[in-house]
Amino acid sequence: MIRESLSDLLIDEGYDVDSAETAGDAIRKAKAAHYDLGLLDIKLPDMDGTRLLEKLQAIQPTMIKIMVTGFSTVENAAKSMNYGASDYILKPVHPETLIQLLKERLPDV
Amino acid sequence: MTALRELLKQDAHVWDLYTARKEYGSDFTCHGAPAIAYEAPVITCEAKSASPEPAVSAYLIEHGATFDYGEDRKFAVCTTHDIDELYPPWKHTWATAAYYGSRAQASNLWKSLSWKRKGKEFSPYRNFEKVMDLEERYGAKSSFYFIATPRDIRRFRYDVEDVRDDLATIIDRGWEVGLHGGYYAYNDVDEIRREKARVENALGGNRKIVGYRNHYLRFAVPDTWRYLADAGFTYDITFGFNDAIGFRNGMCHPFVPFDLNRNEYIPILEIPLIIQDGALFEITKSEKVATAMAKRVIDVVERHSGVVTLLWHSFLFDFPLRKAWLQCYENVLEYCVQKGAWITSGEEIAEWYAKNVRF
Repeated sequence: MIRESLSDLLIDEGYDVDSAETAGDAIRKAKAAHYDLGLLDIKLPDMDGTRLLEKLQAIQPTMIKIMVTGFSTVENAAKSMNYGASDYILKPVHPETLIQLLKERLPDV
Repeated sequence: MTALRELLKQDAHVWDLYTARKEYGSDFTCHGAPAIAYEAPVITCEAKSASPEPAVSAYLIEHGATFDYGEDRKFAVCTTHDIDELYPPWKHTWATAAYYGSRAQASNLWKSLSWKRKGKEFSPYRNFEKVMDLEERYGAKSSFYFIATPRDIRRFRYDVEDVRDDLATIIDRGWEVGLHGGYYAYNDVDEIRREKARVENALGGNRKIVGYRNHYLRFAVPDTWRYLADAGFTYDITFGFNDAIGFRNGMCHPFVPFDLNRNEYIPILEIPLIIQDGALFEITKSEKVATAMAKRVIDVVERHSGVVTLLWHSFLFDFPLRKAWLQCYENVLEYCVQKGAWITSGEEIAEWYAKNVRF
């Protein structure tokens, strides 16, 4: 649900958007195509989000990775940064905050 | 607004201060070691009129960092108490008796001596309700850190299991119980885990504790942070001075420590200790001067929208020879209330940080 609404929001903003339902799906897609930026949920059905972050960092180190979490802890934030996240945002995701963050991270897009 | 960690890394000098690079391999963990000479001045016996400046926090604010405590509150105060004593040691008992005896206060004299005959539960230092009542009058909450080890450099202190009911009362009233790690714990993760488990067992009900301060502020940068994170603590509140008032790494805000050896953040929050009763009254014996010094530092923290962490030991609320210390604490609370500060526990500061600060 959140994935779909964020996709719609970003498409409306003019971004070229792809989405994955599971970590496994995301890994397969990252191996097949280049992405400028990834929004990753901390809680995923098949893998911890920080573990997925680690894997994506190995596959696409230049991809900007932003963690999305419903339960903010310093532990999650620090681990995300250590595993290569550029930033993290809290749920509920405010559209303005997300768009501003994307503009900061992808100024040329 | 750029994330704090990105701002910090843009300036090598600021980054060195923030990470406490000077402390790597230092012997600052030695109890009684002097405050490391930071470029930012601290108030000490030798420099009573110094104006401490939180150089790193100042840099963050200059570069656009903002800290929002809600309800128009400009800064926060984190009030804490180390429970070094549950029962007056003989030295305290005799000093108290002499104090009341010399003032012909028979009833107080009797109270100070009779608790041992009546039983441990009558110890004057089991005064948590009194501390909470006082703080409640100022709309404040605080954290109580309990010792949970028989090993100590001076003497056996107490068994935390003796105060199960007090712990429950503290939690029920919305205050916080944390661990006052033993003298030897700061560099021993297994010991930290054992002590944490002991307090949690005393609390019962599968309740977890999240906050830690080491006895005598013993601390090894960066290892103690790592051990505390591994042991499951959310925050540490040790990082301050035994003999000075000020900002140990230039921060007057909570921060996520960075391990220079491993080149990564340590998943724990540090709420730096700014003003400790013992340090303040080592610098001056005067309640008025101590209050003025504390106010000076509070003004600085307010200017930077920071968090003033206070440490006032719980026993002094019932040790008549420390009346000046207690009065100073009340003066400080009063001052912070007048300034509209948010006065709360370490646990609540840590929750606020996780939800509101883009580190």
